[in-house]
Amino acid sequence: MKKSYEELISELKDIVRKIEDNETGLDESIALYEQGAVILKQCEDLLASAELKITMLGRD
Amino acid sequence: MAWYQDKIREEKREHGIEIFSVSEISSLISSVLDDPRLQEIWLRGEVTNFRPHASGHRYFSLSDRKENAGSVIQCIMWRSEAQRLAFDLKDGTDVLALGSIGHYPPQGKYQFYVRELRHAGEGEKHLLVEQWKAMLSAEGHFLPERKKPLPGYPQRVGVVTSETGAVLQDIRNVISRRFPLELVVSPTAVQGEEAYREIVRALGRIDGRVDVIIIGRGGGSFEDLFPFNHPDVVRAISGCTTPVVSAIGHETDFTLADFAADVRAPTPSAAAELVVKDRSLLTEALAGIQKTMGGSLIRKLDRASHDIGLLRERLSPVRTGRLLVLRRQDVSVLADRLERAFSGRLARERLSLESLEARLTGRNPLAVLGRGYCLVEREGTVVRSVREVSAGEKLDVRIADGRIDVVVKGVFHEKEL
Repeated sequence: MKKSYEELISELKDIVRKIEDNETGLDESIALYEQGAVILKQCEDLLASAELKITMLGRD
Repeated sequence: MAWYQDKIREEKREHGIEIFSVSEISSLISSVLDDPRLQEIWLRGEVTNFRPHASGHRYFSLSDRKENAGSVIQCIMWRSEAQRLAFDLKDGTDVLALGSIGHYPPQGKYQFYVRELRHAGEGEKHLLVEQWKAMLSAEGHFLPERKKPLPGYPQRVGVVTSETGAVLQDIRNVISRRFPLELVVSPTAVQGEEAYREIVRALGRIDGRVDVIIIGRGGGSFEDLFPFNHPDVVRAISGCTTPVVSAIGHETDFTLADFAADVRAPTPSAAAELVVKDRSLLTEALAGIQKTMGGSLIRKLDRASHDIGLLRERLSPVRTGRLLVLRRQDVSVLADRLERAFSGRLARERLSLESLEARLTGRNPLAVLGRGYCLVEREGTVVRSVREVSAGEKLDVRIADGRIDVVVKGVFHEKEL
């Protein structure tokens, strides 16, 4: 199941918060950064790939 | 004549009849006219006897249409309310007037005080809308707690409008500029007698298939927008599981559909802007997040490498050697201080010793011997009385520079001399 932009952004914000937290160790921070970079890419792809599509529903 | 009236009054009083003053009855009339059946009522009639007044107030009468004319009610509309009139008042106009009957004691007449005036044809539809509004409000369709929040990042946006109208073009333009995505159009007629049925069906077809619905119609007359006041449309909007944004007519037009929608937008373009975020802003926000994330990691790495540097520094042989030299220096400094402190003390002790010696010498009993005195002792004990001594005893005599052993030849007490 593909995640929505909303979910991705919320995950990304979580990751940033954890990296900023001084309690988070360096190892974990690096792992989080890698994870964050992947999500960031997914977000950018979502934005870049957006294109207008028009569907017309038929009348009854 | 006066005597006659007085007589009548007297007679009436005798018969128990009460006599009123004009102002008493006038105020009674005022209170009778306060009857709720005469307050805030809609009155339909034809304008007659219209007299514009320099003051700006409007004076006119309302009477029934010709066939059953016969009753007339005088009306007044204050300037403040008359200014809002959307049409020119003319004799013969069929109008609907909202107002209250009131009494004007100085002229002894009652009047209809008009607050609002409409053309009768349109007025009836307005009235209907008022009735619908009260009914639908009682059904709970306009309650704020029913309003659903709009999705932050919709993927599919539904549009209920005419497939040929400008509304769809406007929405399409805004969305393709801000954040292109899938538009699902559920076409419907947006005006005419039967339009409300189509609108309800169009909503039913699209509800649940998109993330948010825009229901829109371009500007038009009250008449044109009328289908969007229909109770069936209002109920369909409030019954949608998908959030609905309304954009019906111009900013100043309100329909009941607007009250039922989760969000009301002033125009279709504004509705589209409400529904989708601007992609370029989102891209900027992403760049911001990336910067923040990278920044915090780099700070963390910097801190870690700084910590490592400190540790390495503390462990290095050079530093250990340097530390040794430092410690050695500390020891020699301490030894110096110890020595200085000690020698100083010694000198002080010596001084005080000498002064003690001097003081001691002053008190030395033997010091007097220097002046020619002597001391007699027997076996180390000073002899203080002749009674302690007998002839033939051996005694020591101490003088300044030595001792003389003597033998006692005789003992004489001073008193005996």
